[in-house]
Amino acid sequence: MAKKDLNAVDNFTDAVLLVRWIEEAKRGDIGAFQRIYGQFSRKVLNFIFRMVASVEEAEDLTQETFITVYQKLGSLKEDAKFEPWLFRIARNYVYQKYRRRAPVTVSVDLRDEEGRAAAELIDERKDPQETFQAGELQRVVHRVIFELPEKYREVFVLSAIHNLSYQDISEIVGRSLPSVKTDIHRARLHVRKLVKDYMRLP
Amino acid sequence: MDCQKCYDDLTAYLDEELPVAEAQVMKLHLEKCAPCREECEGLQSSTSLIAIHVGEIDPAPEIWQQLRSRLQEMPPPTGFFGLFRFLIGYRWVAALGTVAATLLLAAGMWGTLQYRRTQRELESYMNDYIRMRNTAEQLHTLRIAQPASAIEPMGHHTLENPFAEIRPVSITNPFRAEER
Repeated sequence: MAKKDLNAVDNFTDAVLLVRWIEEAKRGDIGAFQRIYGQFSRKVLNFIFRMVASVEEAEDLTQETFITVYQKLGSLKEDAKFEPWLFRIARNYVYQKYRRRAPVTVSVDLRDEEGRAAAELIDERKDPQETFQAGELQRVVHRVIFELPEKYREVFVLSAIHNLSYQDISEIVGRSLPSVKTDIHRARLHVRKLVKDYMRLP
Repeated sequence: MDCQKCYDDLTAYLDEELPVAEAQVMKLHLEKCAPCREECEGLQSSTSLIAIHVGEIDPAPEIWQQLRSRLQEMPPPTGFFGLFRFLIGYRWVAALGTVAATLLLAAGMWGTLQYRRTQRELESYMNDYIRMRNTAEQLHTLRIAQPASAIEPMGHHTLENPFAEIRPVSITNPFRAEER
């Protein structure tokens, strides 16, 4: 069986399981909700982190996102896609956070309040040797992401890192499909320029 | 396909978001056009660099532990208690509801007090009226029972009018504050 077919089978199985977990969680089954959390918490946490540039804030907002998801599960229509709905809730929390504080400005070293670099935070649970090798490149990658304007950053993160479809991204950010397509293209051009500048490529 | 159109659709092509026919045309154009191909490779490599090296944070176990303890205190998303779940998420709704309920209660109490006061005043007015009527009736009975000569005429009144001596009783209208 081709790899694409295997992925399709996996996706179908995941979708069936997800529908079951959602139905169980709607009736108050916290175990089922834990499985939903296990499936999506990493994605949500990383999406929020890439938007707010703070691990602590990302963890708080992830928790708030899942609380809201649980509260609103009853209003989720049967034919609605769960993932775009989940990301839309997470995005709303990110923008609420933006409204309460000054826009994210990233220092050259991208350090948090305790002086730890984001790249170090990301790698603190991994092998130190790996951290050492990938650290510099990760710092560049994070600088590139956080230097993107918010409007471009969110569509870039959702498309290039989370591999969501343009239709899903359009639902998450609440903009039209052509507008999202244009923003993603501009974001990629922006990223290419920043990568060139940081890597000092010709 | 011209190069401008190719340039505009490059990202959608790389993300496999173009319709199949357009993607075919784009593929053919890229095979023939070196500058567009170079542009495409540049976009692809910079995006891949970010996607591969971005790294990910794992959710700390404490997040779920805190989340679970909060979820356990909440009503299920559906069912009877779930109907009131919005009060948890929207505390301002609960606050507004409390204020509205308090105002309604205060208005109800004020209305009841006003009603009781009106009833009391109406009762007092009716009692005065009944007393006046009783007095008038007693005088009328007296006049009929006694001969006309026994009754001392009063002023210009004559016996033809049995109520002539009845002095008008002034009844205070309790509803008019200036008369009380």
